[in-house]
Amino acid sequence: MSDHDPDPMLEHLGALPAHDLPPRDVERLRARAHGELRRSDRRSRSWAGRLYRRVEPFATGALAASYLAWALSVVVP
Amino acid sequence: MRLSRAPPGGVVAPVEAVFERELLARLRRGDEGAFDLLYDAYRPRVFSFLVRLSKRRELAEELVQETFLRLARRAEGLAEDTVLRAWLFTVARNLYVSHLRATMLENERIDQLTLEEAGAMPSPFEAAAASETQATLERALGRLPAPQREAVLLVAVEGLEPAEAARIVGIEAEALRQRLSRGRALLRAALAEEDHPEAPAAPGRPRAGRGTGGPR
Repeated sequence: MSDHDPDPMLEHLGALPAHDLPPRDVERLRARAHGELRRSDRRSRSWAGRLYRRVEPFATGALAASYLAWALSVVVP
Repeated sequence: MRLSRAPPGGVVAPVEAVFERELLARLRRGDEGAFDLLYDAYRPRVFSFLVRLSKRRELAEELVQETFLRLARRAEGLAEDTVLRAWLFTVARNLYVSHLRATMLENERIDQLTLEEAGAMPSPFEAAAASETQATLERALGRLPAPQREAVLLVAVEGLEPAEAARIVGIEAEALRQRLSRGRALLRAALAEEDHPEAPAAPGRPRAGRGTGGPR
């Protein structure tokens, strides 16, 4: 923002109030979000979730390497 | 700075960076208390940004809900260096842009994927303004072309640094500064016109009561 010609009115922009959702919607959304947090937490704590997190980087790397090998086999005579 | 739960109808002060990192770590572990602190701190700001950007309160309500639900769903996967304020505004802004694109595709108008507006809609906050100054500013903000309005909202209203705002919008910092400068000039002209409505408007200036059309 230019400081060459300050306008007092524009200084009030930073003071514009923040409005909010209706209180009932605030709490309803809070409850839904808590549910999402709990679901996410259950997924991460499951043995499948832990196993996936450990294996995923290696699986991704292996997949990328195999694709590269295939691509080279096609391109390189 | 200690963060306290917002009083009914009140707004919590912005969270300091250090405290926010601690909250982020707790949030990544699924801590509901950490989510609540961030939710109460940023919900009004993100909602207000969306209302002023879209000029549609109902749409902003939907988008702010989706923004925070995504935060909850993706909390565990957030990077350790995530800046939550930027993350929230980025997600909120992108949800709005996606909505616009979907609307334009439905209307078979895919000519330009910019922030278009459907005519000169008044700002939903203008009627709720506590003073004439606020009402005047809300009205002038609402008349800005969407790209300039977005830049002014992020930097002048929300207090983000131009570089941070540029990352949120997905453009170069210099481009954001140009939008900001243009938006400020248009605001100044609009406010001057409010003071002197009988003066003819200069070319390119938004005139009171008329839409500003597409982005500039």
